[in-house]
Amino acid sequence: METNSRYIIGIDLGTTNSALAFVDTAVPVPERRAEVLRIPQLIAPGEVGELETLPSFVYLPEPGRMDPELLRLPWHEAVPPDFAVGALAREMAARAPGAVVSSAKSWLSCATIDRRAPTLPFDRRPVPRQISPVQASRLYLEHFRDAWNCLKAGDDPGLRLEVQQVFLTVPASFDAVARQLTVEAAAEAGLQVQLLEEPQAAFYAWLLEQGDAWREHVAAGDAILVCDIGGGTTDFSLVAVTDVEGNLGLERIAVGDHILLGGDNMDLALAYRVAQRLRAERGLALDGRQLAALTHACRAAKEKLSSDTPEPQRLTVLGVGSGVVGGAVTTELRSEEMRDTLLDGFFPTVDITDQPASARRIGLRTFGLDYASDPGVTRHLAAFLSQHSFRDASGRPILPTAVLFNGGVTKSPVFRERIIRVLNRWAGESAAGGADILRGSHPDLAVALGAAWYGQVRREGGVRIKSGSARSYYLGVESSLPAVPGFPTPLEALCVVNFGMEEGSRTEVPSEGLGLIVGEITEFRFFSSTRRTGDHVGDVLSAWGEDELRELPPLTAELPVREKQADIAGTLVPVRVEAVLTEVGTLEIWCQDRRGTDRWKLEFDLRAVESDDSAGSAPESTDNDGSPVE
Amino acid sequence: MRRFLFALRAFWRVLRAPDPGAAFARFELPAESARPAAEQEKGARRDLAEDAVYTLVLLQRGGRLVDFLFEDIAAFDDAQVGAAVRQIHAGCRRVLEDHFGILTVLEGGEGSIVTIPEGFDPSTVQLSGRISGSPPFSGVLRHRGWRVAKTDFPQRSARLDPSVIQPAEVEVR
Repeated sequence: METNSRYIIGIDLGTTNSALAFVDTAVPVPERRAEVLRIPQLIAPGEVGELETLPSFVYLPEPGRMDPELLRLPWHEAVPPDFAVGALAREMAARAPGAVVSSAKSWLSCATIDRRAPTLPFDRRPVPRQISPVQASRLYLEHFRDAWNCLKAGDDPGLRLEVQQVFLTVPASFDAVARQLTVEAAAEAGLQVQLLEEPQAAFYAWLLEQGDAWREHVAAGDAILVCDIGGGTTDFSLVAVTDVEGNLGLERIAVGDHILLGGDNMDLALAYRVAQRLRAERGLALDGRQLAALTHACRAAKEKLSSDTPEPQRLTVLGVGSGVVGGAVTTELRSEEMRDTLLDGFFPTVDITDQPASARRIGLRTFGLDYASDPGVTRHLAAFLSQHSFRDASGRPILPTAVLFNGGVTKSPVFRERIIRVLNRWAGESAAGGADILRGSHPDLAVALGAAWYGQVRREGGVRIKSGSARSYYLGVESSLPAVPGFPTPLEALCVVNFGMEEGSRTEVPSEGLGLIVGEITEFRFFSSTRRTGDHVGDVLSAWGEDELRELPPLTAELPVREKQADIAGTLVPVRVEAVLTEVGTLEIWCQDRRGTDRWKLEFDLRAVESDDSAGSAPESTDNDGSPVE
Repeated sequence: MRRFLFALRAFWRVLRAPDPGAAFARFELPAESARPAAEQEKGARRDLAEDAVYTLVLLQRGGRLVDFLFEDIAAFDDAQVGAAVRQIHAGCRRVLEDHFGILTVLEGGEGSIVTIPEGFDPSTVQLSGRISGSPPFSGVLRHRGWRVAKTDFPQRSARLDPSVIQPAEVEVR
């Protein structure tokens, strides 16, 4: 970890768009700011342009389909690549289905697949080339690395991205496994990174913009909701404003679950509604390209939305062939379509006791990403606020006094106001004035800018958000009750990491009676929770509420049999469990031999596929010859 | 002919310069002996021609301009044309903003009175009406003029056929 590098880098590895920002420490501290690096990328075959963001897409053309010379970037000196990342890849998604990887980040947190196996692009039909979610993330990071080294490092090895201090953001909802895989992808790209939660990064960007004035916007006792609605995901965090010996402090007190719901869903919902009407009224069937253009037009209409009684907007989808006027489809986006679909569909006025409709577990569910089955962002917000365990004296959930908005969707004042109105409705008459709106000026770039600025704050001082582990973690231990035939052995959960455990710290878990078997693979079931914030390390739970604990891939350890100990194969070594939250932001669980000095690290077994809610099996790994990653 | 080539080179350099104003100021007619080799002349002309075609590529890709101009629109009613034009207008305008950063030559509303100072550049401000005496001149701003603030073109591979504005597309079934 380079902590005295000239540059401090923040990388936002987003679901649909990624960005890189940096702070140059050669600039005197008073003038120091974070700025975004414009990233050279292919915008069309053979054309390299610079954009503020790098769309998180990988185009994997079938061998021979594309002249590799047309995929060459300024930094490819010898051999041109056989893939493309960024704007061209996004463009190809509509033209070359089955050859473009998208939403790799959501797959990175999807426990139903082996995230190190080549499964993307995910398609039910056979596709020519596939890479793993980890490889996709690696390709985005390598693109950033090469772009940086080409533009900023030149011939100076000390300025290369590999030796700069890099903060890589992850959703607050990423669990230990998704975090570890993110760090793995970075390491494969040659980058040593530290992880930072995205909502916190957005908060640091706001602090950077506000300077000292931030204290005027909040007071001790306030709770600030960070509401980050991006293209593909929605992320909630709650930050409390505390009083630290007379000064204002900040503490992240709760994070939400991973919600695969964002602006893209809204654009699609609107486009499908219009497409359905066109089919019903005029018998018009739009093809894939037109539907993509219609979705684009709907996005523009959504971004122009400025009141909750929207004016009707004209939508035109130009002809696909060279006849742009003759082939054009023109319709009107009606006021009620926008209101029903966008506002009442995605931001319904609900009660705080409302819960999102949960996924129906039907026998044959399409194997795929775990998209939110309820589109109501406000309903997810209600669930978030009522599930975390911070409550006032009367047992009611603490409601935010201010909301910091981030993400592309929150550019529209209509959605911000709707969320505020719903929050104020929950607060009831007692609320004085209602929740404030806090807003940064770069909802698309704030996370990258804030991540770089976080590094600056760490080096030079400034207000920091107290955080720590956003989840508590549990080892599943079979209880010592007698087994009853026909019933699984009752399982108990041993808390090994408490909520709020600080990064860079370790705990020894009181864990009597745990053992590993020599010469065999020992497997522990492993769980996490964002809701059980009061458990302590060493607590043993014998019962827990539905949805309180989420199962993660199992942890395994294999104890080697040493030659001289061949006779003890199969015997039980009593161990003590240690949990380490690394500075990087990953979790390690170790077993320490109680009778000696040996330690074994437990590793996640990612090959295990949980199958109780998905009938499908993991897609078969195809021949990986065409993969761009050696 | 020499003047023409010089003008082409000047255009080219200004087009490529990060700060066109400064590039322009630096420009002087080269002495006869400093004339670059014929090879370079050819190269510059080819690049310039390719950039000119590439401007069409951008306007076609971003705003379908070539499709529109070459479509027979006589058969369509004004409402149909109007609806398509809104899209084409928005797309082409974005291309001009992104790649040329279009600015006006003079600030101020058309119809307002402006003063043209001594030493003005006659290639940037054209005077009309009855002109007598020497600057400063005072007059009514009839057109604010347009100029580019930058030319920000993607780098293009030598493998691309520079005469193609949009490749033909065949969807394989």
